[in-house]
Amino acid sequence: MALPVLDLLAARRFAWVNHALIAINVVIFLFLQPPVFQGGEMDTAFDEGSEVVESAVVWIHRYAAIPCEISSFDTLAEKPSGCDANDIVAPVALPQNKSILVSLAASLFLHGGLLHLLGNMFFLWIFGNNVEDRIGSATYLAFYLVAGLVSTLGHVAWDVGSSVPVIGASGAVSGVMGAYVVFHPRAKVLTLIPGWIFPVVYLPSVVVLGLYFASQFFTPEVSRVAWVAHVAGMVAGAGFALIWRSVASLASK
Amino acid sequence: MVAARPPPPLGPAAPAGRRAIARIVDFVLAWIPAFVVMVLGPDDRPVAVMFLGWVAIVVYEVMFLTLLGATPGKLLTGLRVLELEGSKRVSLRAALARSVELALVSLTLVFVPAMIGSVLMSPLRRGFHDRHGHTFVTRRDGPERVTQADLVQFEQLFQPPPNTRFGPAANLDTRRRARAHRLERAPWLLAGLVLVVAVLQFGQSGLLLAGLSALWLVVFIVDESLRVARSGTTPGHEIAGMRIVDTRTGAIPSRGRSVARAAVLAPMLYIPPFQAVLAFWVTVHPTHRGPHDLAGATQVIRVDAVTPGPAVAVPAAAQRRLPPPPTALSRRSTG
Repeated sequence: MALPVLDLLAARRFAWVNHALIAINVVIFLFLQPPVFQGGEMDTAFDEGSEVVESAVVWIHRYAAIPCEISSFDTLAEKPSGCDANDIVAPVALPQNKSILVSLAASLFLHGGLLHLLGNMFFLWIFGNNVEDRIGSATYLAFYLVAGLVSTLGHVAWDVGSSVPVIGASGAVSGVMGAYVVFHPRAKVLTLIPGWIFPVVYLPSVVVLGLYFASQFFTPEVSRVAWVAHVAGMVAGAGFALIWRSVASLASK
Repeated sequence: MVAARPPPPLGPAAPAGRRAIARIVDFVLAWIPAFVVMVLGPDDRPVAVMFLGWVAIVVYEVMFLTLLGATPGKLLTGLRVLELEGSKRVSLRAALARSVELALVSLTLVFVPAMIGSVLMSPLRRGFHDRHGHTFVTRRDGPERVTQADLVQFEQLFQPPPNTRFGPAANLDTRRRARAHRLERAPWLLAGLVLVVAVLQFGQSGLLLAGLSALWLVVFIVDESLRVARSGTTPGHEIAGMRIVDTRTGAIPSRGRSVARAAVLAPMLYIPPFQAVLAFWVTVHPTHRGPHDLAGATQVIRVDAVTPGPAVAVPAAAQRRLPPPPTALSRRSTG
């Protein structure tokens, strides 16, 4: 695994939106998500069956993106056809009056555990400032949200009948990384490669992020990582950056 | 009559001892608000409570740095923090950049050795947090304003690299920078590393991974030997302004010496337990020669615009064996 630590590309101005996005994600995880998420991953908490855990499960079903809800535009409580019933957590009461549109946006700011949050925010911190620097703060905010939306829809298209809640900023962050690699393919990224040999070396971003992209296709099934969302986000981000670059080059002529 | 005081060994840079005392004082003082915040924080949110403690330590550091230019610990030990290229007062941005790392270290303690190491290994005692924050810790009677260019001068004045017969010796800080850039303009090494990472990520076989890692080390030895024997340098050494010379002649090392050097270097550079040994050895050796330099009878010298310090004493017997220093850096020039 190649772990990026920092890049040598200084931003010309302070990346307000990127820092604000990191702050919002952190505050939501620490103070708005149910406390059970701070005690470890939700998977282990499920087994306990306590009221605290049950209320957290209801909460996450209210705000997480659920593929079969998005594809049918009916909530799980309305028992839409085409949903894989095996995935539905029983006997938890499913939330009533859920807004599917709100969940599409909210799911981008929720995380399943501390490591999930730290990983996503670290990648956003390394790569986001340079993308914001390139396209401007307002455009960056819109781009981040759209990349997140596209990544979620990509996952929905891949696993349309799933009723497993999907949360995390990783789709949007993958979009940011896709844009970064198009804008700065040769930028030097200090990368740590733990293994039998342990180099800490500067690699071109196209190598580091190319490895990240390729690794998604080998994600183990048991990890429950929505890897298609990462792929979709990264493709969307790279596509956006290619268009942006072409338009900018045409405008400068 | 007043006796002239000798100049401080580190020039305007704060001595490590005083910085250590200052840090201990700040650690204790910053933990008081952190502890209060953590006690008052929500019981059922352990990570949020840790986060609040971290914020309290950041606020402590930032508040004193921006208002007074020093934390209470530094005031007590006669030190202050300057922002490079900045005015007398540390800006909020620099204070924040510096403090977020310090607060993390204070809270978790896991990174304390890395932080101490980064301060001690830097010639002017600039740790990770100083570099990230673009700051410099100085004595209270030190300069009012410091620039990046001043730091280069301070380093040359007060921490000059040891002089060898062939030029100023490169220290660990410079050599580490060279190694981080070692894969630039080295397509074979890069491709090999990508293959190793791919197997690490996608493969299941530990044996295959071990074999590929060993193979990569062999490729590294070949690449390093060829480059050193051909030009006395590698892309990383070029970026860091360094050159490798034969300690007997001052010329480019022969192929045999280059191979011997690379064979010792490869495992020490890329296998974790040996990395610490290599770093320690290079730091403490009088002319910063590591085990690989001794194996290949080589010396890494700086060829950038650095002024060397006093010459390092060479035993008289050894001096008799040494030919005069070469005027040009080529094997042919030494005959």
